[in-house]
Amino acid sequence: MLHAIDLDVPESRLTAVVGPSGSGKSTLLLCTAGLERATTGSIEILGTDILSLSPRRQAAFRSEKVGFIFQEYNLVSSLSVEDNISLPARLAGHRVPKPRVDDAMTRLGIAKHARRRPDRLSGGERQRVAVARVVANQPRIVFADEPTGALDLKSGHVVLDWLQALPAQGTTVLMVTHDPHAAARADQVVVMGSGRIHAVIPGGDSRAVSDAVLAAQSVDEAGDEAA
Amino acid sequence: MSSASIALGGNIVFFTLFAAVGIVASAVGLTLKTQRREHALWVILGIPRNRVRRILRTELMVLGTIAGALAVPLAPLVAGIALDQWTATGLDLHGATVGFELWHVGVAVLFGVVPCLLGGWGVTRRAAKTPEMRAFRDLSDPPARPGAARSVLALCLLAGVVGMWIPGLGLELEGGVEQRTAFAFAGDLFLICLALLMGPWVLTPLMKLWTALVPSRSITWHLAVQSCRARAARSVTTVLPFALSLSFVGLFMVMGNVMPGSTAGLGDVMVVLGWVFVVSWVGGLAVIALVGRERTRDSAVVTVAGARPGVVTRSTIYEGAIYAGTAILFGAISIAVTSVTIAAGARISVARVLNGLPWETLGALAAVTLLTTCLALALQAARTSRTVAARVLRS
Repeated sequence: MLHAIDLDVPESRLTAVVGPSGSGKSTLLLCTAGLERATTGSIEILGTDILSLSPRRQAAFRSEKVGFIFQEYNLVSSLSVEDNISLPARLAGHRVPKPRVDDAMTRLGIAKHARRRPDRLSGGERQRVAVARVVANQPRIVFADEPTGALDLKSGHVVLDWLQALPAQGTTVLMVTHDPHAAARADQVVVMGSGRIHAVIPGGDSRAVSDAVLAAQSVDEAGDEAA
Repeated sequence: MSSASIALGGNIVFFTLFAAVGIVASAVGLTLKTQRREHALWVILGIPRNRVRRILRTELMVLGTIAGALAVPLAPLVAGIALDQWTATGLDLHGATVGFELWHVGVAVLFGVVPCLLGGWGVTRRAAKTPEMRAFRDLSDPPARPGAARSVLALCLLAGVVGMWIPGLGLELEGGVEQRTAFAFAGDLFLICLALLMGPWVLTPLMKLWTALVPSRSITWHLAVQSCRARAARSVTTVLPFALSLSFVGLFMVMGNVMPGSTAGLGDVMVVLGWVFVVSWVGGLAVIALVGRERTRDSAVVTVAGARPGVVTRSTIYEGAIYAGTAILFGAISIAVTSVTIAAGARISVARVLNGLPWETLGALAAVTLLTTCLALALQAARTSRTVAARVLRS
């Protein structure tokens, strides 16, 4: 449950959302992306009120302007790596130029797996495919829900490097994470607790992020005890 | 007349058992494959590999025993319907009635356990051998090759095909045309059984071939084709039951059309193949439902990526059309091969055999197959469309 959320995500910036488990981080992300329906309020992405869009227009909006990276299950199991990368564009009714797909795969180090299906890839490789999909389709905004949660340190760093690099191409990134070090790489960090925004702090300092999360958790626990 | 009854009864039992064993075995194999992640977790938690294998095989035996025991009270009902059917066709049953003896229970349990073990044996062996983290991460196994048992059985069936076709197509026999035709028929029967036994190496390439020939560039078709190919690479159980029933019906209709005094009507064929149809259809639809979880997750990814309303539903229904299309094509090829061989055995032209076939009935059967599989998948698509994609991906 989210309460009284008023959040402005700056364009072409990486914004991280952190908070204790159950604080509403992922719900906020999914509502913002239009994947969960908010019961009240309004959500504007790139100047479009997504709640007012019909399901058809919302789908078109997603395929053309939005990219997603989840913790797991990012890929269609029956499609090859290159098919997965070009999926959003094909759903929007056009094709991503093949050189752009090849370039994205090469940059992410997965070109040799182009024809493989996800079940032949490791977790890190699957996540790189999800990032390559974002790189190739060049969406205006990317929603990432715990994108490094299931990865080893090295693969996690590769994914974060790319998420950090995307704003330079004009892409806005909103990332939910539990990891203070990952959150510290963002331009701004939104700290949540009990479905509310506790604080918005600048990125760069993982210790400050940890302290803010612990403070939010303490406030939540104090609220629970009082109730 | 009584020998005819015995022959008919034997045929019905043989074909129904063949279909049931094939379908139950492949469904059991598929079910175990979908649980490989859980089995990997058992190994990770410290259960020894040979114990995992033993547990799974015990599970299969218990499942088969329960299935066999449940079949016992149903058997008299089915036997009663079959006897009524035979009486209606004018066969002298010599006062045969439905009865029950204790050993029937043992036979029923045996026929419950055997297909379960047949279908699950190889999968349980692999479940205990595959590196646990590989299975736990849902990494696929390399493409399977025909095992020793399947290869031996395939060679036996091939020997049967050659052994029946030589006298049926090449020799002059004392029994004349009728005997030659019967040999050709038997050879065709072995050939169909061989093709179905080697289903992963016959039905999957057939599916790939015809779907590649469809000149569609739509994303819905592309998703459906890739989904069918990916699933067929693991198991052809979604096509096999329909291919089996259609090819058997085709074979019997060709034979009924050629043999003197026989008919190629659906009613006559159904006397022999009615239960095969029941078993195949139920098995086929059950298997389609079995792979629903993976399909739901894929649909959620496609939805999140921006699929417009209806894309996932259409693509899922196309999947049904592809399964049915492959089975229908296999049935058509079976009819073509059996028409040529039986015409050669009966010393008549292929055109005459083809002209005498009840094409309307065959077309209707193909349409029913198409409709059934599409409907089964449409129901699944309707269920999927009611789920929230984001929740599916986070569960």
